[in-house]
Amino acid sequence: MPEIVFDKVSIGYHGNVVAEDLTFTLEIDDFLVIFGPNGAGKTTLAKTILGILRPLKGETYVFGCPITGVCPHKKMIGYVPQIYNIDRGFPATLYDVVISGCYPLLKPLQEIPQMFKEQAMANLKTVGLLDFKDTPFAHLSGGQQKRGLIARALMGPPKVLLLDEPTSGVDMASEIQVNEVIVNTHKTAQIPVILITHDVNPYFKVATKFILMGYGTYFIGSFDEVIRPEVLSEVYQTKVDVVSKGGLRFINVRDVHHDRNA
Amino acid sequence: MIEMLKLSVIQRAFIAVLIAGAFLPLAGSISLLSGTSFLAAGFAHIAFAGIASGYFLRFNPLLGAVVVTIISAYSLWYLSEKKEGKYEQTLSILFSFFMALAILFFGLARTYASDAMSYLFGSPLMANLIDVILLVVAFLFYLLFVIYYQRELFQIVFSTELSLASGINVSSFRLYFFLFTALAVVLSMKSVGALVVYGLMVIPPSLSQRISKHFSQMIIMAIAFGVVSSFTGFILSLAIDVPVGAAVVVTATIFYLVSFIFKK
Ligand SMILES: Nc1ncnc2c1ncn2[C@@H]1O[C@H](COP(=O)(O)OP(=O)(O)OP(=O)(O)O)[C@@H](O)[C@H]1O
Ligand SMILES: [Mg+2]
Repeated sequence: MPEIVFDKVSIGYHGNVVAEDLTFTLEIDDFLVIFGPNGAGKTTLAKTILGILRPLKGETYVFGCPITGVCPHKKMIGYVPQIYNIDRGFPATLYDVVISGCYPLLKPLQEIPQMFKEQAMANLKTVGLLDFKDTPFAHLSGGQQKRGLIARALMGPPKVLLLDEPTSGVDMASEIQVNEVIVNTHKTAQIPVILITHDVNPYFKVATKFILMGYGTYFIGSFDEVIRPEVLSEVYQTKVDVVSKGGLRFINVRDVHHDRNA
Repeated sequence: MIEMLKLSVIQRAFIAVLIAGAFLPLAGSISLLSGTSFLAAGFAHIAFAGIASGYFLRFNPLLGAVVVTIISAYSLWYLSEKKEGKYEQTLSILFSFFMALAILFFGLARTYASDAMSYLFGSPLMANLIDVILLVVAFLFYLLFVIYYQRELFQIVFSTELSLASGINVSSFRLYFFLFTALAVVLSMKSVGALVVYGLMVIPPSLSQRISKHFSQMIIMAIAFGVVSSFTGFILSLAIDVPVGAAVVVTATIFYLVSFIFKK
């Protein structure tokens, strides 16, 4: 049984269908990259996977349980949201926020096991924020907060990692670091990853599956099925090339408006 | 003054004021962190309508206040959760409607009962045994609730979305929180007064938030500041014969201002 199954699922909000007829699975060794233009429904899909939103139609299963049912495994998706706003006065240190990632795994009043405390420290080190562990979370920069939330999502560890634009607002050096963390977690801990991003190029080596969401259309499949100039150009409504250079492949958006030789 | 503290009516009043001083900052801390500080003022006015209805229809005003406030708390939750109404708008509408009802009932009752005024300004000496017992029981319930579910509450005030993703039933927690806040307001009103309930819900948590690094620390400190303010206010009111509620809020405000001198 795959970790996640979507069978002819429609997603969206009350009276607002965002995407219809989505069918895909996430296997234990999958690294799924979801991309597409703004407002196509990537975050909506993430929230449906998490059970925050009910599917409008179709069957969804996470770890074999229907998403809307009560399932203890539902607490096992490590999630990094795209948007979050924390009040500047929120009384919690970075460490408090990171360790809270294990709360769903604890019984009420149970003391936090030593194992999780060590995990929190290790995760802080992984995202390069060990020095900030006692800093109030609300006083960190946006990119640092995002890395803190990744450290939080890694607590458990989870059975699936779901990241909604984890590198937006993260500086260049940290972006490489964050990508390494995600890829390493996938490889060493054998955790399937669902990653939503606008910059797919860094993930071509590791990704096993792609979902390209457009407005009212979507494409699911391997690199060769989805990362094609004609598909990309149609969805983004602009000229897109797929370039191969020295064994590396990347998507290149040809900037029509600024091409002086055109 | 020591002699006065031996009177059972004074002792009862003292307990009521101290418990209100703990209960309101406890409810107020969660309220402040979840961005619903207006709740206290809203419920206080709504409760006042309940009291007015009690006078008009000639039954126990406190009972009237409890019933009306609990119903409003539930309606507020239902309308803002299930009907996707805006929390603040819903509360404002309930608030104005019940204020109008209060004026209507007092007008119809044609009494300007001084007893009713005690709910507005607070007169702990008029709190009877039942009032105090209800206050203590509700406080202990909420305290145990917060201790037992401290981790869920932390996650909810940190991020609704992350708590939903963790499988927390945020909606139910919000209902309990509304109901307990309503009870904290109503049951404290007689001893400290409606006008002061808001102060105790907002000032000690604000002070505590300024100096706390952790969630649980903030709640404990808020309760501590609330109790110390109530204690000081009560003693002051006995010593120099001023209204208890006013003395409590003035004390809490002084603590708040002093915290600015000592921190940065
Ligand atoms: N709470 C909501 N209620 C109703 N419609 C919503 C809600 N949130 C988002 N939408 C709509 O759903 C559609 C998809 O939004 P979504 O946030 O999933 O897009 P996205 O692909 O994540 O975009 P981005 O790249 O900007 O993050 C948009 O048209 C948006 O207006
Ligand atoms: Mg999005």
